[in-house]
Amino acid sequence: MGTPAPLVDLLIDRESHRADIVLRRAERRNALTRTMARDFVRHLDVVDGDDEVKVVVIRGEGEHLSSGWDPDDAWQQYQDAPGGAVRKHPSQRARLIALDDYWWGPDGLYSRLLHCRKVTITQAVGDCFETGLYLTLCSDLVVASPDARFACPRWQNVGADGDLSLLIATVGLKRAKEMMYGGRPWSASDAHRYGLVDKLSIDPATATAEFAGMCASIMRDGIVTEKYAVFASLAKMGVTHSFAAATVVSASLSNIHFQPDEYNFLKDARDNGTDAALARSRSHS
Amino acid sequence: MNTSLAVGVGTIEVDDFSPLSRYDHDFAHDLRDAVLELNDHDDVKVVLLRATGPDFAPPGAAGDQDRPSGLPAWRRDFAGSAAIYQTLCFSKKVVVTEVQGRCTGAGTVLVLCSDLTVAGEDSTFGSPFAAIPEANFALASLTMRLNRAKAWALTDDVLPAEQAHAIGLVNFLEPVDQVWSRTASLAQDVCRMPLDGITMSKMLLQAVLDGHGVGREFDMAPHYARDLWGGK
Repeated sequence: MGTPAPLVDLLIDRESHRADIVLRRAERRNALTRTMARDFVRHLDVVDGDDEVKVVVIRGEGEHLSSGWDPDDAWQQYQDAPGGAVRKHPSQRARLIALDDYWWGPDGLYSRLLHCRKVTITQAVGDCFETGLYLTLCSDLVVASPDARFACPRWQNVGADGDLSLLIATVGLKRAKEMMYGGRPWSASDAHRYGLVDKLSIDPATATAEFAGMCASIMRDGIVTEKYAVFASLAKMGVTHSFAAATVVSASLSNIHFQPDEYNFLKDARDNGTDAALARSRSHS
Repeated sequence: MNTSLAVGVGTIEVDDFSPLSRYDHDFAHDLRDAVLELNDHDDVKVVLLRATGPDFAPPGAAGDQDRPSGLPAWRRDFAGSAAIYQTLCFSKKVVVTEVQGRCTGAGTVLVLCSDLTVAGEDSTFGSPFAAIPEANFALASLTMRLNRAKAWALTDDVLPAEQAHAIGLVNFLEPVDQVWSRTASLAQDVCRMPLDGITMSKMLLQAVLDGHGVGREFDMAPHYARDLWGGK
């Protein structure tokens, strides 16, 4: 019996100075688990340490970049964190630790991708929801197919968390609020118009290859120098502070009180399973 | 001024918002109180500002009569942390402005301070910076980006609706006869979010706005006012 195929794969082509990080969980629309987030970060460590790699392409197998957190793992991550299984519901500290460790903290997926020393290009197709949205926001360049849709549907169920500094810097304040409160996915053409997507293409793989080829022609020192200049700007923009705030608010939103007439997604997920709750929440909206 | 409440939406209706540009203290005070009441109401998730007249905030004749009656009163009713604009900007509910016709002066400041804006295709947006010292440039640059905000402030341009939409000052642009229904559908979308979620996300947003200097820019208003009004 062979080793199961990795759910997050790393392909390196040193001749073209390109690495690909590929989500291979098409049957779940590339929903990300903690293990996948960790593997993703490990791959970023590898490419950051490989002087032959200049460009990292992020893409998903199948029709979608990513549908977001794996809903089953989203709750389990709190229970498995230190202090998470002490009582029936995970403690607040467990929620904070899990969110910081895997997603928003300095070693979490988003922070690590944002601070990758190579040029990062995301190939956005189909659903780019939640994690898919943040892979898009945290990468340097984005190529999208016309069927790509960008949103964070969880925000309608519990409230908007996540980094806002980066979102505001990318699309503007009122557009960011539209994403937070409007509850409707942005089409690829809207996302392109708003500045979230750099290039629209009916052949995103070819358009991505063209971007990657262009970036790979830049000298190594030039790429890394520019990336460190970007890191300095991100710090000045308060992105680190915003990621920390995202951790705090995200942990709180996993534990909110619902008004009697409000749809309680968290209870529905606990009582009936996450798939049923997700289906209901979407019909609800 | 008429305030009503229906399915999560608190609506404040006035003929138009130009009294704010004319520094009508009673109007500013009443509007602030109406917003505060809706902010504190547990059945409200959306605060909607609507003008029932043809213009959201038409221009008025500029002159001494349009100046506030002294800086302390102006600060109390217009520029201070408990005055109308900061009450809107830092509201715990989602603030929606619905704009038709001309939107100038204080009307545009209301649009900048609101979270979401639905506008009719006939609307226009005048730059508030030449006449309204409490207009927040940090909000403008975050909303439409720095270069566009500078051009708008310096040239005093009036932006047609389509351009305001393209640069992100307006979220949704609709034919005039469909503005109300678009606003209603937007409010319905927002109301699906739990109240706790709305409040916490607004607080998260406030932290980001603070980090970007929005609060400090409001604090600068008295300096701009002295420049504009010569220390009156």
